Amino acid sequence: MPAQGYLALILHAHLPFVRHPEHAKFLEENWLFEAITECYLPLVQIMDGWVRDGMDTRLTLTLSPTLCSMLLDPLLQSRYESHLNGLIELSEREIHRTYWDKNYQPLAWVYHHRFNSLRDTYRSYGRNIVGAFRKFQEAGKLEIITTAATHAVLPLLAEHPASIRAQILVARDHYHACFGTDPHGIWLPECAYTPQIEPFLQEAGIRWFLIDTHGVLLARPRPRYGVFAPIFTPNGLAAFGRDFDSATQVWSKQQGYPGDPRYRDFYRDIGFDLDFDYVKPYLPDPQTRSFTGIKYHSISGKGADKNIYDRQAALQAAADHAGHFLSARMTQIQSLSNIMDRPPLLVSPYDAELYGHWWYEGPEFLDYFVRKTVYDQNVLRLTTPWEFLRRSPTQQVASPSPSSWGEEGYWKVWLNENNQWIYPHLDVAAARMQELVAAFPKPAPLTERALKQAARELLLAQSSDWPFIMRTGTSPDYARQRIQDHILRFTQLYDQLKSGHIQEPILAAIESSDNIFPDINYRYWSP
Amino acid sequence: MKVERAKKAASKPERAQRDAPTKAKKLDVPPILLEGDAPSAPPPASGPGERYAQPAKAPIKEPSRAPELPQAYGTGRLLLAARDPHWLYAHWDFTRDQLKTYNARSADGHLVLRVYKDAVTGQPCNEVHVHPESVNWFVNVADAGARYLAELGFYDSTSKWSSISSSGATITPPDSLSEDTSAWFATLPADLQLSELMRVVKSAINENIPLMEALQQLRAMGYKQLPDTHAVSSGQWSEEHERALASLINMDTVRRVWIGSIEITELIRRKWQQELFSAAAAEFSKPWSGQLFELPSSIGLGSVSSPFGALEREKKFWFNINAELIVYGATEPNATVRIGDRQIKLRPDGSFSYRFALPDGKYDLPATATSADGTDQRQAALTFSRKTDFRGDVQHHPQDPNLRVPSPQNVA
Repeated sequence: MPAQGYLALILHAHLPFVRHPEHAKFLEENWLFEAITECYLPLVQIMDGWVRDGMDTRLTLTLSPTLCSMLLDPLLQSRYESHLNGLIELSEREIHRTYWDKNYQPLAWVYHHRFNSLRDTYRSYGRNIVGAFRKFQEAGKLEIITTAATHAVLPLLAEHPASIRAQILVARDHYHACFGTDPHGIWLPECAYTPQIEPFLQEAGIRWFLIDTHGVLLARPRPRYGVFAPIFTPNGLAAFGRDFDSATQVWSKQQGYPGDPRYRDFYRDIGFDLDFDYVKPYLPDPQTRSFTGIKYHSISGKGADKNIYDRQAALQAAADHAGHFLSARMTQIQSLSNIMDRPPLLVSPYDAELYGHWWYEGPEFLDYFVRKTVYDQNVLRLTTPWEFLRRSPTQQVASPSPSSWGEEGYWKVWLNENNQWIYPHLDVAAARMQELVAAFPKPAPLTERALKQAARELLLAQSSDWPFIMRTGTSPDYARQRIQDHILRFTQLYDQLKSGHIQEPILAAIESSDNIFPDINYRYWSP
Repeated sequence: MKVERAKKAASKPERAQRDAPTKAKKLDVPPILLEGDAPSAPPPASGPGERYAQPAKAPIKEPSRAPELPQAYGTGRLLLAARDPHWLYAHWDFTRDQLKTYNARSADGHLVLRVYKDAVTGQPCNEVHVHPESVNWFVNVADAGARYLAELGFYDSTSKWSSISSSGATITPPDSLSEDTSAWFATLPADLQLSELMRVVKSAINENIPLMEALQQLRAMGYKQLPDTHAVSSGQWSEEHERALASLINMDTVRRVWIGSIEITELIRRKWQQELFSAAAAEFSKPWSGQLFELPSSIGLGSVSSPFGALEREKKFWFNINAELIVYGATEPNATVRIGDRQIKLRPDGSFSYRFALPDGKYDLPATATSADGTDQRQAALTFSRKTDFRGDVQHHPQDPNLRVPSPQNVA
């Protein structure tokens, strides 16, 4: 029996480029390590399971160029394995520490087994997580999409079309280097859309992008099927809108799954609970208490008196929620198919880091949901946007509305009183980059190296992560420092190029530190 | 930490002045060379406003980091960007000296930002008198889906407008459903190369028109190799269909819950950190608890509540007590040591150390060391017991890291 509708599950995996070879340990590099341990490797493991079991699954995954660069970087790979070895050692010590405490010891064993299993997976792929996902794409189970080179909020670069172009084309090139083919789809950073982006998406050969619900609902003319079918923009690109119901079911304060009291509590971590000297060797910054990743409590319970985490109960919760989520989507598809004259499509995008990092049982939820969808029903089928377009090439033509998935739906998160000061600097640097490219049409090798590095510094400064962090206040000093560092390095290179005195040792030091996009094409900034 | 550094900086002149007389006898150093970089302390405040006055010390300064970003580049550019349907962000890149010059020419002593709709002509829709030192402004505008431009200038002593800089145009996003419900459906096979299609279109039509429209024109001109595009008759879609779909998704629902995933999560995380910090501080009152989090104090979190539950803590007398056990020792580095029923890992020097939680009960801890060649063995049978009587509400919680092994020496 043919399915009545389709569901495209999209995960967006992105982290800013954080790499500090100048320090033996660096706190913010732990963002990557936590995400590999809690999100990316568990996802590889569950997808391995789908392939092993011969399941006909579909998933869409953004792997941002900055994330791919870090996952492929030998220094960070080596540091990650050391980090994972540390977790294994700590869990081993926890098994001993909890020898008489039968409430906790089984959990220590759970962590020990899990970390060992993750290390096995990591090593089995030769430390190459990007390659693992490429394998799933080549097997037809996964559509990997790209995003802007350093995740810049593209509408905020509207004054500098060359910068938008470079963000997209550099990402396309990097994708090709990682996956041996060009991307069909792009996750516009923060789902931030403006029509000025489209010519460059066309140039990159990209065929579809994702926007938030209101980006489609407010399109001109009004889309007949709302977000339940993609629209073609006048430029022939397909825009897919986020399904609101499936988003609220995960995020809603009242109904959101991750708030179930059976799930693991995010904040209660032995990095804070146990003797500082004991946990110190395993902390990302030995001077500061922080998360280790070993947590023994569930969300339940008032105050600091949390219940001990019951892994089996949490897995049951994940299975319950997967069943509920599937049932809700089936009901949704059935209601829509009664109204629409074509099979409806639900597009459910999430941050990949939700699954595993914030919501520890998220990967299991995903696994259960996909398995139930494949085996237990015929109402809906999993698909990817590209596969859907191949199947349904006739769509309504409409112009999407500028929008983002940030707070209040536009650019306030990335442009407000806390972070507006960065834009004048980015504005001047973007203009100067074009000036440099025009000034050196046939550069000597050293000049070309300086031009390439200036381009890298500009891209790194444009990342949406820095203004976002300033807004949320999580690591504002680090974000400020990063903007400052990249703008200053850019300016230094600009001054040296303009004066004709490039100092090679300085250039080499910057190249070695900010080593992203080794084959960058700086001519994308041509005026 | 910053406060500490600032205090040291502030106290430096005092020390210098105190030491100056003895040193002056030998070197006759001019007093100014003995002063620190910090400005001298302001006179003490007095009168009704005294309790609001800053303490008499130098302002806190960030540690010097060289080099810093310039305050401005002096390009004279006026940047205008729509932030959402009703707010524009304007920035003008002028150095302090440039601003000073223009402010001096202004009859009001400051600049004026004008915002126009569609073109910089006629009456501006907004006119903002900005502060003399301002270089940016967020401007509220009436219309969503509209094109705005800005102009920076001033009124001179004759009330004549002088323009300094003009911005490019920016368009505010629409915030309402389109009244246009016409539907044009087109077919664009996924396997067709977009670049190839665009090449065909560009060679046939010189005008720069959107691809889908160009395809339609070319088909009308008889190009057969292009994808088929066709209109869907409006009869297939009634108002009833439209209403039914609107009951499943509409803008009112979306507006009520703007879901920005990461930022909501981050805000929740911060709220939790703050609550956890408060709870931890109240609970443990230990020196290390202050290192838990560095929280900004100026973030409004009142409107954000966690879907993951919340820490609630009543203010009342409290008592925590706990006990831990550390077993440690050493043997030949290549020996095998078993504690309980598990083989443990020795450090390279043959030592080992393990820390145990110690709940109430009686415990035996057999330990065995076996030499590498298996010929020698040493055993220890350790026995421990703990029994605690609780009276009132006593909690188990992380304890003072300074607690030692519960031996007589440490208890004493």
